Amino acid sequence: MNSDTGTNRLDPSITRRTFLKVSGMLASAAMIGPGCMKSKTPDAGATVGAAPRNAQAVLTGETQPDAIETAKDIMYSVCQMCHSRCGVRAKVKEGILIKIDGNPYHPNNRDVDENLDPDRLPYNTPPEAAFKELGRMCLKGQAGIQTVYDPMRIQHPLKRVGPRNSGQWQTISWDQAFAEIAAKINTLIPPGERDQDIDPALPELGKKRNQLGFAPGRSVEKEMSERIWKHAWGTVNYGLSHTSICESSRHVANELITWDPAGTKTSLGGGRTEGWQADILGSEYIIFFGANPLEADFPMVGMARDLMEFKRHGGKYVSVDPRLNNTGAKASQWVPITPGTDAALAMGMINWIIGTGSYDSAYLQNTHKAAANANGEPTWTDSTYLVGMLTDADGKQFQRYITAKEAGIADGTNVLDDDYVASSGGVLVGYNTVDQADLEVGEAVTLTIDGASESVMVKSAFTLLKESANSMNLDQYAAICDVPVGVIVGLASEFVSHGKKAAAITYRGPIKHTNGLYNQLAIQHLNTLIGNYDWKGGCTAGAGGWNHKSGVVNLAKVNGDPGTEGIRIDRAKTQYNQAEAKGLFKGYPAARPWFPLATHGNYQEVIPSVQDGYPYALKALITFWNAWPYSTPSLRKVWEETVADESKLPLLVSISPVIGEVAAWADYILPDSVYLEKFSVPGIPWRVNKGTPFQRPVVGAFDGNTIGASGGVGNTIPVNGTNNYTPALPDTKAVLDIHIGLAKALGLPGVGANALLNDDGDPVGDLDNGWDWANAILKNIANSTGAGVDEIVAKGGVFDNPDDEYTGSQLTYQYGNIIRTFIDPLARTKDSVTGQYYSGVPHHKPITHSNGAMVNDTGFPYRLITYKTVHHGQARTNVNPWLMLMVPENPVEISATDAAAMEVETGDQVKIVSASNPDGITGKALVTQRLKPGVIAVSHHYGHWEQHSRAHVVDGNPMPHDPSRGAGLQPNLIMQTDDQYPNVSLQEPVGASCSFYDTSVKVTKV
Amino acid sequence: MAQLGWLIDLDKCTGCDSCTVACKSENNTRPLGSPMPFKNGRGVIPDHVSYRWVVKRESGVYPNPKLDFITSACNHCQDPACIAACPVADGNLSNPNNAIFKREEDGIVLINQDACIGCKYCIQACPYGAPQFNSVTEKVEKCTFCAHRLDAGFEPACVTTCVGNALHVVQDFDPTEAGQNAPEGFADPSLTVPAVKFSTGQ
Repeated sequence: MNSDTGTNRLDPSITRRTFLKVSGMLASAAMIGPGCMKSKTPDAGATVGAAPRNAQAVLTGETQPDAIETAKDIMYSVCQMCHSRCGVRAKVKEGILIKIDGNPYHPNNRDVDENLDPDRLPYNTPPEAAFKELGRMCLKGQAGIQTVYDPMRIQHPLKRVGPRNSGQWQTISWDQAFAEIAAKINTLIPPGERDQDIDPALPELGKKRNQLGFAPGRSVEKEMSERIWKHAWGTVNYGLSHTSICESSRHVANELITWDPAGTKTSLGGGRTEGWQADILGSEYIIFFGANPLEADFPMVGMARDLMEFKRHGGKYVSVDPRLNNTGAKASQWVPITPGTDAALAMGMINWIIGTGSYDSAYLQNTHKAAANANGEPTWTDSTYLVGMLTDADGKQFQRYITAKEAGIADGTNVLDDDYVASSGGVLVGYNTVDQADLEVGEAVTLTIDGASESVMVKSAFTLLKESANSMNLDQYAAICDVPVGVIVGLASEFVSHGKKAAAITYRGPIKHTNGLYNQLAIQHLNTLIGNYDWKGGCTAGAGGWNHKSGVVNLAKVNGDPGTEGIRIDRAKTQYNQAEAKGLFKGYPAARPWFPLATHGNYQEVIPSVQDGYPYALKALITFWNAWPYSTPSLRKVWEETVADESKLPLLVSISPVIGEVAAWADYILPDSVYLEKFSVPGIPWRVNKGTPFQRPVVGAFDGNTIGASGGVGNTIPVNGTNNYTPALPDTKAVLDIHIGLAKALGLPGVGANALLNDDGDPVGDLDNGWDWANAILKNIANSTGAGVDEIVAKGGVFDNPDDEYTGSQLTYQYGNIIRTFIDPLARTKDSVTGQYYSGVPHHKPITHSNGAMVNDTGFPYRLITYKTVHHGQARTNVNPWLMLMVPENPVEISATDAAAMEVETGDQVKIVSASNPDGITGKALVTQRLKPGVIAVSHHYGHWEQHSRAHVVDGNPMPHDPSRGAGLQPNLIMQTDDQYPNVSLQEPVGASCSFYDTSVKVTKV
Repeated sequence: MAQLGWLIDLDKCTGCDSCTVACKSENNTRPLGSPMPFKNGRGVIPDHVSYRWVVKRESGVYPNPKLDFITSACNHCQDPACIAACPVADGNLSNPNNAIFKREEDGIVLINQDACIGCKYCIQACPYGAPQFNSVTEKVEKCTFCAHRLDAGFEPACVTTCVGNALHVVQDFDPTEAGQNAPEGFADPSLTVPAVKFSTGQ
C-alpha cells in the first residue's frame, strides 16, 4: 500500500470533471484509492441557469456551484470541529463529500423559528422527506470538508529517522508499526513484569502496567480507549485527558455542588452533574460570566439561535467579560470586569440578595426530596443542614456536616447515625423528620465526637454562605472587581426579579484562574438562591442521551481484565493520606502537588511529572488528538526538554491525522482518519432536549465499496455485513482500528474472537474492527431507545421530539436531586502544598502561586487574557483555508487608552513578555475600544509551529507544507509558571484547572 | 416579473461568518484549499473571491463600545450600477449574452463568465462591493442568489445556514422598501434600488 508516497501527479484529464474541492487531494492523486476520488461530476445541470426556469445556461464563476442533492446523497453524522458535537448533514456525491450542513433532526442544528415554533424535524419524519430540510451549521463545521481533503494529511504510518523532532521520517506498513510498537512496549515493560510493583518500597504506586499512559487530548472514543488501556492493559493512566486545560474546575465545582456521599473519587457520585446551562428559550434574564455563547461556548449554533430568539421575544442577557466579544456585542449590558475577580462580583450580588431577603426562602428551607416535591420543587438544598466548626488532631480548624449520632438524635429507625442534622425552631432534628427547617442557624451545641462530649459551634450551610458574602461590603467587592456598586446591585436586583426564569452561567472566563473553583461556586450559588434548577427558564443539567454502553454488548467488559490500581502520574483522584499514599507523601509542601478532588485529571501536570520522574517514570506514552505543547500554558519548553531525553520517556507514539506539535516529536506516528471517517457516539452537550447522535464515516469505503458511490453504501450501512472500513486515504486507519491493532499486537484480552461480552459476561461477538464496535453500539442504542438500527443510521442518531423539553412550567429531563451550598468533601481536604484546609463555601480569593504567595509581577503592568473566536475550534482548525481566510492571523488587542500611553497604533509590531518568558512573543497590534484598560487580549488558534506550517521529510522527499498555517501568535508560550513548581503553569488546586488569565505582561513596540 | 430580494434582520446577525463560508462551500469560490494563495506575504488577506461576507464595525468609546455585524452580498438591484458600467452590453438588461444581465423572471443579476472581459468597471461602479475580481481567470464574479438552488427548491446556502436567523429571502421584493432600515454607511438606495431591506425587531 505504501509503494507510492504521492508526489505531484495531477491528472489533467480529471480536473475539470472532478469536484474542485478535492483539487488539493488530486495534487497527490496517487494516494487515492481506486474508485475513491476519481468520481466525475456531471457537467450538465451544474451551470447556473440551466434549470428549467431559464433557457440559457450561463457560467457564473471560475468554478461551478455544487450539484444539487437527491435524498440518496445525504448522510447524517456528527461534527467534531469543536466540542459542540452538532449533527452533520453530509452531501456526498459519487463518493465525494461536497457540502456539510446541519442535521435537521438534531437539536443543536434546529430548534425554533422566529415565532418560537419548533423548526426541528419530528423524529418520525422519514429521511426521504427530510432531505430538503437543512439544519444550520457554523463555519467551522462547514469547513470540515477541508479537514477531510487536507492535502497535507499523513498518508502512511511514519517511523522517526534520526533524533526526535528532526523532521525526518520513513514510511512503514501498519503491520510493522504495530509489531515494532508492541515489541518496544514489551521490552520496556516485559509481559512477565507487568504485575510487579513499580517500586516495592512504594506499593501505592501500583503495578508496572501504570508506566504506560494513554493521553487523549479529546476522548470522544473513550469507550474503546478505556476498554483497551484500562480494562485490557490495566494502567491507571488510561485517560490523561485534556479537560484541565478546558473547563475542569467548572466541572469539579458543579460535581461538588451535586456531590453524593455514596460517590466515588472518579465521579463524586453517580447521577450528578458536571455542568449547568441556561434553558435559554424559557428564560427572561441570563448573566453570562466569561462565557461566549455566540462564539466559543458550546453548542454555539444552538445557543446563538436560541439567544437571538430569546432577545427578540424580550429576553435580556448580560456579558461579564473584560473584552466585548460577539456575545457582548449583542448583549443588553456589558460588564467589563477585572480578570479573576468574578467571585467578588458574585459574592457582592449574594451579599445584596441575602441582605434584602430577595432569595427564595421557601425553596431553601425544604430539607429533603419529599418536602421539596410537595412544594412543587424538583430539587432541594443543604441550606438548613448544620455544619460544625471543628478542630483536627493537629489543632487545625476545619468544617464539616455534623451527624445525627454526634448530635444525639439518632434513633436507628427514623433518624440514622449518619443523617444530616437541621434545626427546627431551635431544636436539633434529623433532616428528614421535618419538611422545612431554620435557614439561619449559628449556635454552640453539645456534640459527642469520638465518644467525647464537647461544645461545638454549628452553623447552617446558608448561614455560612451569608457570613462569607458579608465578609466584605459592596464597596470592597466593587473595588476588587472594578464593577461599580450600582452595577452590582442592578445585576442582583434584576436577577431576582424573574422568579425561576433567570440564570447565571459561566464558561472558561471565571474558571481558568488559580481561584477558579470558588468563582464557579459563587456564581452557581446565585442560581441556588432563586431555586431555578429544573425549571423552565432556569438551569438545566442537560437532557443527555440514552444508554449506548451496555444492554446488548457491555463495552467495558473484558474477559481477563487485570483491573487498575495505584496512583495516577498526575496525582489526580487520590488522597495523599496514609490510606492511599502512605510512603510517598512526606509532608508539606508536597514534592509535586496532589489533586484528590480533580475528577477530570490534570493534563498540565503529566509532562512536568515525567520530567521529574515523580511519582514514577513513564516508559511509554500513546497520544491521540493531543496538542500538549501548543495548547497548554508554558509547557512547550518543558515538553521539549523532557521528550528530547529518551531516558525520561523511552517511547512516544502519536495517533494523529497530521504532524502536529506532539507528533513532530513522536517515535511513531499512526495516521488517524478524521472525524468524518469514524464511528463514535460523542454525546450531546447541555441541551434541554435529549439525544444520542451517531457518528459515522461519510467518505471512504466499506469492504472496498465506496460510500455514496453507485453500487456502494450510502445512507444505510448493511448491518450484518463485515464492513471493514477504509478511510478516504486508504493507508490511514480510524482510531478504533488502531486501538484494536495495538491490542492484538500486544496480545491483550478484549479483542478478537468472542471478545465482546454482554452484561452477564457471556460472549456475544468478535471485536476485529471498528464496525464490530459500531455495530455493538448500534444494538445498544436500539435496545435502549426502541429505534431500529437502520433508522439510527439513517437519521444520525436518536432524538426526542420538538416540544418534549417542557412539562408544564418545568423541564422534562430533570436533575431532581440535592444542591449543596456547603461543600463538605472540600472543607475536609487540606491543600497538598500549603497544608491548609479549603473553605467549604466560596469567597473572593486573590490570584496565587501554589504555595499561597500572591502573583505579583512588578514591572509587568498588563494582564494577559485569551479567548476563542467563532472562526476556529481548538488546536486544529488552522488547516482549514476557509477559516484562516476569515482572519489570517490573530492580533494583539490593546485598549485605546493603553495604546495611547504606549504610543502604539493598529498594525504596529509589538512584543509581549512575561516574568516567566522574557523572550516573549511578537504580533501585530490592534487598538480597540472593546477591551478593559489594563488588559491585553490574544486569541488562541494561531501561532502553530507544526501542523504542516513547516516541511517534514518523508522517505527523503519533502512533504507539502503551508507557512500560512503558522501565522499569528500563541499566548500560551508566555504564560506564568508556578513559583513552587517552576516547570508547570499556575494552576487551580482543587479542580486542577490550568490558569490561562493570570499572567502579567509588558508590551513594547518593536 | 417578481424580484427576489434579501430581508436582513441585523439584530440577529451574530457575526459568525457561517454565511460567508456556506457561500464559499456552495459556490466553490477561491481559495479552495492549501496552500493559501497569499498576495503579500503572511498576515494579509489572501487572494480570494467571496460572494458574501460580514462587515464587523467597531464604534463608540470604552466603556460603551459597539460592535456591529452586517452580512453583505450582491443586492440584485433594480437599476444595477454594474450593468450600467459594463462595456459588454447591448442595452438589453436581461440579455444573457451580455457580460452582466438581470434575469427577467426573478431579477437575479448574473455575470456571464464567457462574456466578461475583466475590465473591473463593475467593481468601480457597485456601491456594495459585490463584484469580485478573480486573479486567476482575470474575470469578475459575484453572488448568484444561489439560482441553481432556488431552481431546485432550496434557499440560498447563506440563508439555510444562518445561525442567528438573520438572513431571509423575499420572494416578491417591493422596490419601495429598498434599503429600508439600512445600517449607517449603506449606500443611498435611490442610486441602484437594491433588493435588500433590513429589519429591526426591537
